[in-house]
Amino acid sequence: MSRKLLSLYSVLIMLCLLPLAAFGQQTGTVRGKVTEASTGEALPGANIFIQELNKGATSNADGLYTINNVQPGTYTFVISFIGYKKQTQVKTVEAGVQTFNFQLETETMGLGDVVVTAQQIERQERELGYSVSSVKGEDINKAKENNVVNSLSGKIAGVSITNQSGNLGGSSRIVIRGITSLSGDNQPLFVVDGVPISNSNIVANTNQTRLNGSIDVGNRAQDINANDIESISVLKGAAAAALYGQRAKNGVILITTKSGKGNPNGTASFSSSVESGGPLKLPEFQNIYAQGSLGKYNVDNLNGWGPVIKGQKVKNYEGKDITLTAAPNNLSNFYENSLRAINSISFANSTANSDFRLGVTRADENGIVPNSNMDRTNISINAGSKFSDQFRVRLGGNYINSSISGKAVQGGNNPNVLTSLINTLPRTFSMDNLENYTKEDGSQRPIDNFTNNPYWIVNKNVYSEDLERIIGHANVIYDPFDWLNITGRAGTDFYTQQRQQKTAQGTIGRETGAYSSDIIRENQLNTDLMATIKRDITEDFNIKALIGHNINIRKNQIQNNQSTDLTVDGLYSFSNAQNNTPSNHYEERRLVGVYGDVTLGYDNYLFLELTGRNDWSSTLPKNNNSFFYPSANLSFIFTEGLHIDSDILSFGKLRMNYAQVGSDEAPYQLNFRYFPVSDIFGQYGTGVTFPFGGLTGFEATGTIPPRNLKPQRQISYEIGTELQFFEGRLGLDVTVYDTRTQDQIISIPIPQSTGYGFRRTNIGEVSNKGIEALLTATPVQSKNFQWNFSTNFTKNKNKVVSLAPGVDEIVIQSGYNSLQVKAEPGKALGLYGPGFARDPETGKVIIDENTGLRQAGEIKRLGGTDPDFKLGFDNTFNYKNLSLSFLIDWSQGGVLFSNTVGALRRAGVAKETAVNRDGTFIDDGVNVTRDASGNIVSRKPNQTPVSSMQAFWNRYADAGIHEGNTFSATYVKLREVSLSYTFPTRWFTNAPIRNASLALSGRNLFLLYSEIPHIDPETGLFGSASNGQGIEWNVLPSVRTFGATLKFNI
Amino acid sequence: MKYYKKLILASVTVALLIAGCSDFLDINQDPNAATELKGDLLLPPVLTHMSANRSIEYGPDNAFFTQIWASNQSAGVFSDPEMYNTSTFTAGNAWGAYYTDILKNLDLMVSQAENQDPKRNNVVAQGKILSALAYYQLSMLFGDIPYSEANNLDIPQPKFDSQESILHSLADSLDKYVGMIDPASDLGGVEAGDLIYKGDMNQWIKFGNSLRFEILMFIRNKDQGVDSQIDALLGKALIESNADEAAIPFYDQATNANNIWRLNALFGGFADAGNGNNFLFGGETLVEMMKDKQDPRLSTYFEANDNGDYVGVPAGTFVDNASSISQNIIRKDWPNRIITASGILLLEAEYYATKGDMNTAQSKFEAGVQAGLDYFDNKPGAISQADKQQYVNNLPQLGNMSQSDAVKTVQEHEYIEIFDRAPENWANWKRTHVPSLPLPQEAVLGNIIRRYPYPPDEESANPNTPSRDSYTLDQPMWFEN
Repeated sequence: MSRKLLSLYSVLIMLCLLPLAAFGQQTGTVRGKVTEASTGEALPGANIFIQELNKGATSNADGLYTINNVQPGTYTFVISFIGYKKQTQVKTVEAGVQTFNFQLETETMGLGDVVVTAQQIERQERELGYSVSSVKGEDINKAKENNVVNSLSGKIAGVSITNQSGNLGGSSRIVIRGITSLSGDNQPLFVVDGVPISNSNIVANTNQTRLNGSIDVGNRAQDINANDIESISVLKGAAAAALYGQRAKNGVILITTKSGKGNPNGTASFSSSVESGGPLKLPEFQNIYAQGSLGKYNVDNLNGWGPVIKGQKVKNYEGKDITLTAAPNNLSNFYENSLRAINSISFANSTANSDFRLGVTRADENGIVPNSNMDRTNISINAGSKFSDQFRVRLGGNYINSSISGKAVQGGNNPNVLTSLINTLPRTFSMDNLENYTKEDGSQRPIDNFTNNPYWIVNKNVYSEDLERIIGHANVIYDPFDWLNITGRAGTDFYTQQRQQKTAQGTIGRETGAYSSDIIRENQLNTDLMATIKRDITEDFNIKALIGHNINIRKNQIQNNQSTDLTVDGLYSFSNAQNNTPSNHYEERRLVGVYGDVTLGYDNYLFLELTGRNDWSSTLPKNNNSFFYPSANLSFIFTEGLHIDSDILSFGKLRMNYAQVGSDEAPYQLNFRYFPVSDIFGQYGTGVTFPFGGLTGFEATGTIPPRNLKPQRQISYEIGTELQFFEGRLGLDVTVYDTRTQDQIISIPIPQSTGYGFRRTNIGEVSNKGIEALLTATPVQSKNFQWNFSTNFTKNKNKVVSLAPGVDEIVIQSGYNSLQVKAEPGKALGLYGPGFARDPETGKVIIDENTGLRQAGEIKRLGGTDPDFKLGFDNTFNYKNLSLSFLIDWSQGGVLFSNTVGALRRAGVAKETAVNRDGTFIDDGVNVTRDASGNIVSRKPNQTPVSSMQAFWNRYADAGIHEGNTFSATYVKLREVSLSYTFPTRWFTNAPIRNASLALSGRNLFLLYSEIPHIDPETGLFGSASNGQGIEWNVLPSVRTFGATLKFNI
Repeated sequence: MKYYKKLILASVTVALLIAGCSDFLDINQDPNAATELKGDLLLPPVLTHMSANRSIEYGPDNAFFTQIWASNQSAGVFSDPEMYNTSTFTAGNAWGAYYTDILKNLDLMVSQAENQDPKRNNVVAQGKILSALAYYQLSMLFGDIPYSEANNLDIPQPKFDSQESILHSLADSLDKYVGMIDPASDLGGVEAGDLIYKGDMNQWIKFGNSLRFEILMFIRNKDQGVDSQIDALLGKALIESNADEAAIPFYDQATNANNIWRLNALFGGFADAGNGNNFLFGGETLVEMMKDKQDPRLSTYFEANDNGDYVGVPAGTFVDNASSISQNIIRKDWPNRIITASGILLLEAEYYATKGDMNTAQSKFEAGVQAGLDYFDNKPGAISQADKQQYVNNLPQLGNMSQSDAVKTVQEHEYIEIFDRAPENWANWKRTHVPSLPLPQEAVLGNIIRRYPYPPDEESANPNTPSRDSYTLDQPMWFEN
């Protein structure tokens, strides 16, 4: 009995215990295997994370994982692993054990990708009927770039990026799908976490103009810290941006900053990088001939046309006896190696109901110009909290503090222009000698009577910029029902920047010293209130409808003072100046918009989206300040719709869209205005200032205000396809578009004899047609090794279709000596200037029979300023924990005028000018004879040698004949190389460090091909906001950098 | 019911939003500009634009062209125009300044005065006299220019009028507007903003008459039918005393100073005791003429060189140890002189000489030379009483010469006195061809330069601009004989 009882009791107890165990084990256990979709191989180290519970697990070496103690319910599983596409799956967990296996696909184009689109709305990429490109944060951060615009270069089809100069905090111009607006801004709208921010490139009084004493003041989007970026979406056409309104007609760069999500255990991340570099390309010099003229030494000539350097004894400018020896590295000795250190730390934490991230980055840099430095501090906060199932709040802020000192002055007409002082120095001048830039009494030791010492300029006449900026936003998201969402968002961007230019007493050209100071304030407030409804109409049909209201206020204020005739040397204070000329400027504009968006989806493969927006603008005439613009786009995933099941074509989508965008005018243009005068132009900088003789004065506007102004209107069509082959091993995305911008609001030039220089009105049409293509492939994919390859192609054909009746051309930007960027009907924007006189019949250059020299001819079109096409090649090789990537950027076509090359040749210091000095040279061309009316009657091949190579080069590269200094701007650059090593996680099993990586990278590394001697073809004088590209004039050389970055997480 | 309430609430909100819209958006007035203004405030910038152009924009060029000054190869921007390689900027800046800065603002000032009730005739006269002066100067620089259709918003592409018709029209217009001046009226002219006369309308009468006289003398070169008008004018009030001189002042303050002085100040010029950069030197033609006449103004105009001599520079060349322009002239408050007493008196002498009235001619001649010397009294470069007396007493007797010699003698003195006044110095040489000027070395034209080319901006915007093939820069002006 007892044994039986015992066993019965045991069984009973066990039976009793069983339910207890079952109660205790009312939770579920989830386990399974993570494998690679294409090969079936196990994926160790993959992350399986249950969002709602904020817990997860990592797969082991066999790809197996287990998550215990999961309360039964329905959850979102997020499965991720580097190099593979993140998967999100909703699964129901019951009590007990269940097996969920996951297959991850390698990173390719968006099959199930979620993309951030306009208004921070995350959409499935499959729904989008327009072209969107995304770049991940880590790709942006790969090769450390100070300007986030530059880090997009070569990575996105349809986008053309031109870095303007090698200055610290220099600007970079980004144009998406060509220039649409002849006088307005062609930069895309930059949006950070739903807040439109300023990307301005403001030239104010301290910077004189974009031409005279020009300084590359940067573009304000560069203040964004790459380390804080989670991803960037580029919305290219108007269709993608219809919800943002008119400012997005040039496209939108949507930046999403990192949040704290996915860090249940709290993560601290550290990153430290050091970069060093120097000018990418410097002129190639002849080091054979000293200064002078026609082979004879002359101390007054700062050039290279003198005798052969043979150790002769001569007198220098200061009357001292010197021996002539070559100083071949004098220019490269002037520039210093740049050094940049970027250190970041960030803390991220998430719970089931909230997440938080704080990031702090500090960047310190010394530039290639002596005495130049930049430091920047970025503090970024991103926090979100879920108050209830229906109510969420997110807020974020960025604080930026940036100081730059020592940017080089470019352009002309200013004693502080730097590169013109150093590029054409005699080949015997060494920097050791020039480094002593003061005499015993502290006054300047110049190069000669008319020329400042460059070390005096960089040490004494310092230009500085100090910026403090805050970008902040708050979102409130309310889901009262599961089909209704109400989102309210407010964002602001404001900054204050002070710019100062100091010119010391004793500077030639500004003997009595000068001081200019600008305080610039920009302030933007943007609010959006949106309601979205999602309903399933039938099983296959669903509808999403959104309606929203937007208010945007932008203010811009500049206060400036110019001081001249300083009393105490070195004291840069307004009261120390005998003369002060203050001025102020203020601009405010407001916009109210109402927009709606309806998306119809059918069976998840066919989507139709219709949008409409109406704007009311403060800058248009009161009785006509409202304009409406619609758009429509269609997305058809035909592989699913037509039930195509092929091994080769695994995914195919067709996109089409049509969009209209209206845009308004600049503030205050509508009234006839009288402006107070602060100074009167006088040639050579001699103008007088007002008050004059104690009197104030006013002048009427020089531009006739518009009558009956209408908004500008842009209409675009786009059709494209996304195809994937071989389960994602090969992908192709092609888009063709046609954009027309009509009723351009421009100031058209009118004869000055009317009393006005311009009339502002709606005229003209500009068209941009083009094709963008992105090809991605994974040619090799094996257990340990993977090669990913992508190439993007951009071809945009810009054409000024028409201007106004009777207007044959509009000058977009002027350089010196009739060099101009102009818009002419029937052509793309182009560069114009005098060329060589040519015989119309043979096309050959006309050579003067007496001198053997070329002649100045008519003003002609030198070429288009836009490239014909751009191509980027991006390769990444992954071998176990090692990753190597490189990016090649190819820009084909367009022209560039280079004053630097012209100056080097006129001065006889360029390498090519050494040829033939002792010989004879007969230029290739024809001598012509003319009749009494000046027509050419006969021609013969030129046989007259030039009197000297000095005469030849001074004519060929003449400052007034631009053809000789204009080159094809085609270039191929090795833009980025990065080698990174992720330390094996098993090294850190017992350490607080969770993962770590070390990367070596280089940026702007090599010019693999260029047709322009002496300089980097990727350059521009006028800055990112100017449509006047294709002109280089004493621009600081661009910089190549190498460095290393160490990252680790705790 | 609930549904309707929600709908009403929604509609009201939307309505409020839209209503609030229009006020919210009504901010398009520039806080840093005025939309209405007392026209008097437009005058000071007009005058300073004129003085800036006359002194530094085309001033040096014109003085080089007439060989009154020389560059002595001091800088490319000066030695190039000396050889007639003018800069398109010079022509373009001057053209733009005259039409858009000077003439337009004067028109606005005049039309405001005309539309006021009662009309401010004195202001209209001031504006119209200055407009006439501006068109006169422009025509002297370019020849045929837009005039009758210029500065008219209804005419987008003004035609070019002939110099002949412009000069005639200016003379008539001056007659009309000087006649409008009423010095006794309560409605004064522009006063504080009138940098020339501070609102003294009697002086404006003299100024208007003198300008008209000058213009008639140009027309007279071709059409002596205007003599009757000149005879009538010579009985009226003219600028015959230095106190009535028409000049735009500069001030003894670095940023209100004469542009030529500022040029030297910015580039380390001889503001610092002669060891700086000198850009401007005496032209040989003038220096030699003054030495020949033993004119006491040599030391006023020029610096003696290291040897104590006055050495001028032939156009287009370099002379070591040459005489630069003196600091008596290149000083902060050297005014921009437009019409001087000496200039008018000498013109009168010239006129009387051509009419055969040698007695009056002689007295005007001597008064003119005297006024030119007296101008420097109590100023840097003042000439001693003894020197002045000796010079005037030794002036030749016009009655003892042939008529043409007498005219030439007077015109030589005009040449000496007119000095840096541009474009009048160049224009007067074109009218008189006295003295004869040798062609500069390496001049790019075959004859003395007569005009600037039309600016490229006007050429491209206005199809009425004569094409570059239809004229040469050394082609004589209409009024030349």
